[in-house]
Amino acid sequence: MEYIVGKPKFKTALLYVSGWIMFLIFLKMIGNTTWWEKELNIVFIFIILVLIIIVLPGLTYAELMWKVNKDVIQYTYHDTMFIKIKAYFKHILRKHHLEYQMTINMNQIDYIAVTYTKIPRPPFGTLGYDILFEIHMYDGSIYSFLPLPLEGKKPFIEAVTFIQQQGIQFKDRYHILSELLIDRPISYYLEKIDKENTYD
Amino acid sequence: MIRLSILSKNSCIEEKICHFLETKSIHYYIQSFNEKVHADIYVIEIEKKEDLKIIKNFHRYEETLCYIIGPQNYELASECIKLKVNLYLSCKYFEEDFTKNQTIILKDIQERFLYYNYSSHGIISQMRLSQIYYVESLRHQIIIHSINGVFVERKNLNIFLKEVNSKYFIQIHKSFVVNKQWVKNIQGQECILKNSETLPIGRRYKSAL
Repeated sequence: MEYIVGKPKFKTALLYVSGWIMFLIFLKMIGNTTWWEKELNIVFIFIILVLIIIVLPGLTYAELMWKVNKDVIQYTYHDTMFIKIKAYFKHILRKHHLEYQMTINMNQIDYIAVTYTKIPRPPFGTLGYDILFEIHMYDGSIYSFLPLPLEGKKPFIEAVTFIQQQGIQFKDRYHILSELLIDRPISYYLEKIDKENTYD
Repeated sequence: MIRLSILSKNSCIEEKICHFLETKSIHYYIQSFNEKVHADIYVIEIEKKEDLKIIKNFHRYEETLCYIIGPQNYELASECIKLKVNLYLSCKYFEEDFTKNQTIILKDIQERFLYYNYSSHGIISQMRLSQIYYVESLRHQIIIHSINGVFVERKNLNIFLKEVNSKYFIQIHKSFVVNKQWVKNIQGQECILKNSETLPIGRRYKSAL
C-alpha cells in the first residue's frame, strides 16, 4: 500500500498543453498567408516551445511531493521552475537516479511533531503560514518538511492516517490535523494560533 | 538538542546535572525515564544489584551515554563496567565525584552528539553524525546514507568534509567518504561496513585508512 501526496499530473498537463497546441495550429491553418505571417511563424514556434518546456513540467509537478509506504517516507521539494523542468525531462527520458531528496526509514521514526512555519509568498514576499512536520528519529536526528501541497487535502489526510496505522505517533499540540478535516483554509487557523502564541 | 533521562529519587542530582549543562551551553531537554523512550544520556541511581536490570532493558546506541550513581561497592561498580556503563559515581560523594569528572562528561557529550545540519527550501534536517554510514558523490550531488535513510544534497565531498570537520569521516575513494565508526573490515580494495555494504577503496586514498 502506498500513498502519494502531491501526485504528478502527467495526463492532465499533457491534455491541457496539447489542447493549446491544437488550438494554435488551428488558428495558423485558417489564417491568411500574408507577408507578416512569416514573421509570426517564429512567435508561433516560440509559444509552442514555451508550452512544452516550461508550462508542461510546471503543470505536471506540484511544488512538493511525498509518498509513504510501510517501509519509507520519501519527500522532494521543487524550489524553482528550473528544478521542475529538470525533474520532468529526467523522468521522461528515464534517467532519473533519485527522484526524492529525502528517504526516511519508517522503523527509525520515534514520533512526528505537527507544527507550523511562516513562509514568504510570491510575488511580493508577504508571509503566509504552512504546516510543518518535524520527524524525530530514535537516534536524535530531526527532519522537518512542509507536507501540505496547495491542491487537495484528501491525499494528505489519507497519508497521515496510514502513518498513524503503522504505529507512529503524531504530537499535534495545536490540533492542526483535526482542523484540516474542516472544510476551510488552514492558513487562517495557523495565523490565529500564531497570534495567540505571540501575545502569550 | 540532547535528550536527557534521569532516574533518581534524589532531586539534587537532577539539579546538579542541569546546572552543569546550562553553564556549558549544552541544549538539552529532560525526558521522563521509560524503557521504550530513547534518550542520549541516561543518569540512573541504583541501590542494589537487582537494579542493574534497568540498564540491560533500555535501548542503547553505541554513542548513548549511561552514568550510574550507586553505593560505594566494588562488586556493583565492576558489574556496571561489564554492562558498558560510561561512569560510575558514588551516591555518598556525588558532588565531589561529579565535579571531578566534569571534563570527561563534557568531552563525551561534545564528541558523541554532533550534528550535520542541512537546510534547503522545504527541508531542514539535523542528522546525527555518528549515525551516517557513508557519503557518496554523484553528478554534483552528495548522497548521505544513514541509519535513518538516504538524503540527497547539491554539494561536493570536499565541502561536506569541511563542514562536518570530524576525525571519523575519511575519504576512501574520489566518490566516497566513510564514517570510520561503521567500518567492519577492509579486504583488498574493498571496505566492508557494519551494515554489510561494500565500498570501493581508491588507490590514492588507501594510505588514509
